[in-house]
Amino acid sequence: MIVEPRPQALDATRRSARHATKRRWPVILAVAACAVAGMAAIVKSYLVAQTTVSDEAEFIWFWAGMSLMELPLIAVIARRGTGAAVRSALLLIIGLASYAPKLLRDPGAPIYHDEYAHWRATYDIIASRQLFEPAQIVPIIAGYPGLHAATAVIVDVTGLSIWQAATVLVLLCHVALLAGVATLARAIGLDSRAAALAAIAYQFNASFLYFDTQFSYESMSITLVVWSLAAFTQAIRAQPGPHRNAWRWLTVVLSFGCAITHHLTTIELTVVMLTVSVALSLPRAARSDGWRAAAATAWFLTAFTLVAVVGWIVGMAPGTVAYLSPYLGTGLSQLAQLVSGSSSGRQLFSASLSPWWEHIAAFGVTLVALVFAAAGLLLLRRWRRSGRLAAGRERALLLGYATVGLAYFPSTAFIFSQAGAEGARRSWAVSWIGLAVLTASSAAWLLDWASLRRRAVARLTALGVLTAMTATALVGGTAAGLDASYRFPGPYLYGSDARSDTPELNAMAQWFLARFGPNHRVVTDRYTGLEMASFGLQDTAMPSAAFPVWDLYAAEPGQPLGPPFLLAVLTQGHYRYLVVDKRIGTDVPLLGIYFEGNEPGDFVLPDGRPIFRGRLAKFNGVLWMSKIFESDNYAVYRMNLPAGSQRYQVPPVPLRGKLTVGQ
Amino acid sequence: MSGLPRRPCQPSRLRHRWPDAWPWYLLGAFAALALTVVVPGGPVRAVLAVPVLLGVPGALTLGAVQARRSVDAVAFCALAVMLSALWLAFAALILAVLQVRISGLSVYACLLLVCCVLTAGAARQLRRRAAGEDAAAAWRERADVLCAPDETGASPKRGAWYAVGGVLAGAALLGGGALAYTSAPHQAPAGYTWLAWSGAKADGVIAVGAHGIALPFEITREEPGTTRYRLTASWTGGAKAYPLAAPRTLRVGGDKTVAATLSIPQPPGACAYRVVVTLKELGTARPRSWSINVSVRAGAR
Repeated sequence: MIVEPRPQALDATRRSARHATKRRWPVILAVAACAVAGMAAIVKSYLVAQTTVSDEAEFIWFWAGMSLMELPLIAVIARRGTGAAVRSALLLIIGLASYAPKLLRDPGAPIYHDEYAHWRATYDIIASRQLFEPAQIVPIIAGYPGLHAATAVIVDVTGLSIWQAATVLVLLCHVALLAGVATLARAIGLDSRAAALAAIAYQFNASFLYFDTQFSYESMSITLVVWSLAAFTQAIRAQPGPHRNAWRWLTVVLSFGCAITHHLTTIELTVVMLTVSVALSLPRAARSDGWRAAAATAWFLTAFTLVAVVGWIVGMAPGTVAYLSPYLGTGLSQLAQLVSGSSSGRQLFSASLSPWWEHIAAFGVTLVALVFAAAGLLLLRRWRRSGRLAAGRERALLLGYATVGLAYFPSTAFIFSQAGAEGARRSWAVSWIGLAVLTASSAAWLLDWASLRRRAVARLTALGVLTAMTATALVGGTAAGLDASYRFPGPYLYGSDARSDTPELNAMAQWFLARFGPNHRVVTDRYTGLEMASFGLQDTAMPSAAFPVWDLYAAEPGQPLGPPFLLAVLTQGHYRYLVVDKRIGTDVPLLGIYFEGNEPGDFVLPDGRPIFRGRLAKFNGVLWMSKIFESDNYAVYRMNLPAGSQRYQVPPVPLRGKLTVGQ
Repeated sequence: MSGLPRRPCQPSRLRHRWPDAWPWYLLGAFAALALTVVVPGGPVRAVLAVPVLLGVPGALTLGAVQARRSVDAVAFCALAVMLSALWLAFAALILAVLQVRISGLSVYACLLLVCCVLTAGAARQLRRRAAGEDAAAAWRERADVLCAPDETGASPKRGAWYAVGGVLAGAALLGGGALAYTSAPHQAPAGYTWLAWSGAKADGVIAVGAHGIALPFEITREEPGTTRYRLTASWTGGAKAYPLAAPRTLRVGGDKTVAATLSIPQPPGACAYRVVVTLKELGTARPRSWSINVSVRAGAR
């Protein structure tokens, strides 16, 4: 039966709705104006950055823009009165807008180290029509074709360029990442406000703004990890029956998708699932109706993911263990040396181009995270004692994800280790999932606590402190990730992956491709190699102790090039071209490496000059080499190996030719 | 229950209503993807194809496993996109296993087959739901333990429209920023000049026959303005260089490529000669120079 409301009550309801709408519009307009102004400031920061190697103004414009764009949106999301659907919509806006820094950084072509590798891997799939082709620059990616295959299909179907298709795919992954964190937090048991705050907190991790928005397998995989965990958690929360089965299937599909896309994040996914499964198996935390079935579901899905990742590594990407193990092993040994005092460790921000206040914020983000995490733990304790968080799946899930989040703090120690720093940073994208859930609970509680202060001064002070902490996390999270040369455009910077691409290098690579065709074996340095192996479509050498191509460069004039085994390897490997960046003899690379991370550490002399100084002109006199190209900064030599025994004319003889110049 | 009066239920104009037949509509949309080949490849085709390609397979998957109603609109769309992206990769993998070449057509055919299976699964789930087969097992999600008492709910009716609004607003913001940045004046990149052989590959020592040889090369100047250059050719013996041809002075304009040739007769003797062509900038305080070289010797060619 439909109960008709009284006309007066209906009028009052309509009046109230109209007033609410009237009050809402100024807020909507103000937030929109802030977002537009923020975007304009970000654009301004990039325009400023173009003309200087590094200027504080670009950082100020950038963070003013980001704050102006995001903080008002965050404030609306954090309001208790905001509806769940509006929060979701605002999260979508943040997801799209937070892609702007990366989109503006390289709107037309890849510039990050890994992006070149993935561009080439995608090109190879399109060109060969096959998966698992040997990969250039980062060979391990050949075994993980998820991203490349998806991009190649989009290219084939839409006719977009590889870069355009990659941008569309990564943008969608980026937005889906925030939605995934919010869904995961909802699945754990947080309300829509805390869940949205978890997504906000997650975007403060070091990888969110730049690293996980690059065209790289991790950018797709991290979103798959989050959605795998969301499906995994929904499967645990759901009652036995069709719903649980549905989420089980989705977990299986998504985690297998992770396994074919990226190694490290899938391993981390397995560890997170394992942690949650252990938490669900603790009777003290999880005992409730049906907890055994929920734990069995968790263990089954964890086992499946483990089998998927191990099976994929063993069957399709056997080089993964050799690729990953040095990072962990060397990182641990360096950390041990650091603790024992036998090593001084890595100096943070030593070659950084960013201003001092970004460095402080980078340390500050750990402190902010610690404060919120501690508050979150205290809150959980309080809920447990008050009976609000009784033993059951919710408590076990919170315990599991909180444990994952707390792993962030010990992992920060690895930042002081040269080998472990990269691995630690990569782990944060996953550990921050748990940390975001933990901190969001406390953030929601702290916001309520601050809003309920009776005195305006106390209320504003408390909210101001929370805003300052949010801003610190926003700045510091990104500052703790990539260096300014990656984040901002600018003039050419020798030895930086992201600022080494110049029109001259591009022209040289295209000249080479047009002249000789693709897939020639080429010896060159790291920064020239990125362009040669991607858009140049050549196969560049992977230097190592067993293949020390740097010895060609370091040999002193007058001395024979070698060692002999290197020439033998070059000959057997059909290496025919040497591309020399002349600045290798004058400049010290920003990243500190000329070829690869495993090169000898003595290429920069104590006086700050490179060892290659004055040693490059010798190539002009090497008789088994012909210089076939020279531009302002690059020289290309054809290596005629094996070296013949041809005698050369020394005494003068009459030999007259003719130079003809024509258009 | 809301106090507002309900609108009386109106008969749908569609014979098969969306809630009852959405998998078939989506399958139709995916099948219609083939029609986009008539649109030239690029952004326009992408606008038509990407929503289908990165939406339909995932949405059908959610329908087939009966997870469609367990999440809100934003989560549904995000999950559908990720599952669709995975289906693209899975399709490529399936083709690789079957040793079929990966192309737009083969992937489309594979995905269409997958979508047919998923649609059948989703339709079956719809029929089960309609028949109330799993009504007894239907489970209403309990209120979350940490849920705020005044939580307004995660899936209001208009959630999907809010999500569409959020996407449009975010896309406008992002697109506006990108447009503003790309249309702003940018610093001109540094220019450069190069000198390169353009003829046969310099494989080892080039044999020069009785009629001599012409070695073509090119000078490319990618810089504004015109500059004068001095072009010389020599051969080297030991540490000395001997002139090989009369030097030439040339003017090269901005963004121009000039073709040139070094003609040399058959060199005397059996020894090889190292031939060097040098280009030197004239009229500047710090003149730049470029050189290329090659080895030649007398022999049949």
